[in-house]
Amino acid sequence: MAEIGNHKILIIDDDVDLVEANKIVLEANSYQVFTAYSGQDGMAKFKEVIPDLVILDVSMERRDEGFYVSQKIRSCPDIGQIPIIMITAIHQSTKFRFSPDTDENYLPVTEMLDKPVNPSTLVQLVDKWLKK
Amino acid sequence: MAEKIRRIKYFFGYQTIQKFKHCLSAKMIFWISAVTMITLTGYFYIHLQDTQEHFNMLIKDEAYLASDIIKRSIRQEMLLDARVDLQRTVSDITGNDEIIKIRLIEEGIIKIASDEHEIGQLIDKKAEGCNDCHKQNHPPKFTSDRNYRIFNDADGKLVVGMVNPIYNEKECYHCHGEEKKILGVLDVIISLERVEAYIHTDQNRAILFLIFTFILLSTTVGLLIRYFIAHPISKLIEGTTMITAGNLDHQIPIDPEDEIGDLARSFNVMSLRLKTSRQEIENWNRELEGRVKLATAQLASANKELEIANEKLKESDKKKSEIVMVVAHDIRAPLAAIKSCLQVVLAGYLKNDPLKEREMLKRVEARIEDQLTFVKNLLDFSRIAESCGEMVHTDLHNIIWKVSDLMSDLAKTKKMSIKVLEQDGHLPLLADEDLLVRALTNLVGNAIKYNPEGSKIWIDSQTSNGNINIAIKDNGVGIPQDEVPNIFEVMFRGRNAKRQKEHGAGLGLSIVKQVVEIHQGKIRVESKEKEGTSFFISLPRAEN
Repeated sequence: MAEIGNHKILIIDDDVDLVEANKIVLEANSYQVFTAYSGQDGMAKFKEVIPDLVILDVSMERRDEGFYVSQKIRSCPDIGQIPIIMITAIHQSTKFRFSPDTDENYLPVTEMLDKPVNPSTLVQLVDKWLKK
Repeated sequence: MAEKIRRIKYFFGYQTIQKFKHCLSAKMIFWISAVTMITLTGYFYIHLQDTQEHFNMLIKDEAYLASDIIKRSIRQEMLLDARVDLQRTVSDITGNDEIIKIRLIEEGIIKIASDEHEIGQLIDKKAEGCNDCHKQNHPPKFTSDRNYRIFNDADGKLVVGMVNPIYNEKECYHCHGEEKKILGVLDVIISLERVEAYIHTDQNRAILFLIFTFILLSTTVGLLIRYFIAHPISKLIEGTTMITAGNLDHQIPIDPEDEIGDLARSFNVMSLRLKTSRQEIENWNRELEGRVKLATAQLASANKELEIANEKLKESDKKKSEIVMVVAHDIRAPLAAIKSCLQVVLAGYLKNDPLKEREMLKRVEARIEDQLTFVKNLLDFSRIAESCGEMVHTDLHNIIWKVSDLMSDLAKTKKMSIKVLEQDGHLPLLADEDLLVRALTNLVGNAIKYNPEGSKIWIDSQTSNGNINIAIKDNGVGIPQDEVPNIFEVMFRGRNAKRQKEHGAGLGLSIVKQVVEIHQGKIRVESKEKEGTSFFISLPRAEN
């Protein structure tokens, strides 16, 4: 039941407390927040909700889970081109290759942040990418 | 062409000399023959010289005698000055082969001669037969009455000439006067043909003898040398050649008692010894080869082991850095969550919702508690990994009751039941109670943490075959088959565990495994997704 004009944000992160903290702040800024706690559930939720922006954690089921999810999202036509904010606890430059055609080191996300991220900072970024 | 011939001649000459130089027999034959021949020749020569001189003396005497006889026999005729008779006598005397010439010489003129042509001739004092004494121009003195010379006459025959002075005697004064001492000389020339022939024969015989001796000597010496020296030596050479070629079984077939035989015998002994030595060396060689092969094989296997160890080391290094990464993540991520939650509260977002605010802070507290547990687990794991446990005699019952006691409250919060099934009788063990309790509580704790509310847990214990068996079972979510081999790994967290949003370091089961191993026991797991999980531990029963 999205209010007209309110943007939909999907947070995919396996840390429930962190998700809760970010949700509180985002909702306080009039965003509609949906959550998923694994890559698998995240993809399902994404297709269901069709958010305007995704906040994606890197390490969930697998260490690089977030990368796979971002690739999957991007491969969805139209709806997959929304801003993706990626958050990671370890600054890693591991394998970004998801398919042989993809450029090495090509990361199809809009922003990459290192944990910890101040929720207020996060909101500012979301504002930036959505109000543009 | 001439050049070629010269070269060939030179070549063959050279070849011959080289062969001669090389051949012992040839050298010995040559030198023995040479020395003998020279000695013999020397002897014969001297002998012949002696003979010659002897003959000369004899001839001289005979010639003098002859000349004296002739002188005496013509004396009467001279005294009578019967020249015709004198001439005839002289002619008669020279009739035979022996006396060749008679001449009566007075003041240099031949008065009477057997060869009538010579009568009236002047003596040529320089003629061969005369020169020796008449070298100086004045007449020589008759130093002795025996003046003779041996020479070859005009026909080339060897003759001896005797000059016999005719002294002036009283009987001769009536014709010749008193002043002259010597009236003239009687010159008799006697043939030495026979003598010469004899000497020649002698010489020839000598030469023949020498030649014969030479041949006989060389041949005999040659044969003897061949038989006694050259042949045995060539057999020795053959023998050494065979031995050099490697045939150490060859024995030299020489038997004589002399030095060469000794040499051959000692040589045979040496070759036998060589054979033995060689066999020894070969054996030793083979053994060495064997040892070397063994050493090489051992080296190769040691090398392989080293390679394997290296690989393990590399793997463990890799694991270590993985662990560090995982640990960093597992510390940073919770801290980030804690911080975010506190920031939300501090920023005032929940100032209008005190309940929510409190909830946030409780979450923080829980997370901090988790972290403390995580750190504790980490330290415990490290400590347990290095310890051996303090073993005491105890009974498993004690331990199980402790565990169920500790975990019952926690189980209640998730509405789970823990059922303890046990055999009657003693279950004696050698165990570190704290460690074992810890391990079992980890297992029970996992069952509570990761299974849904209302699940059931059983703790089963019994003994069989000298072992004590413990089973912790639940009917919960189960572990996926592909994860089963890895669950005891350090930092490993299964999918189903993660899904429960419960926090864990992935160390719990690693600790359990360590503890079981410290107690000389074994652990295994059986699980089926959505049906449940069972852990089976077997520990050695303690003798009493």
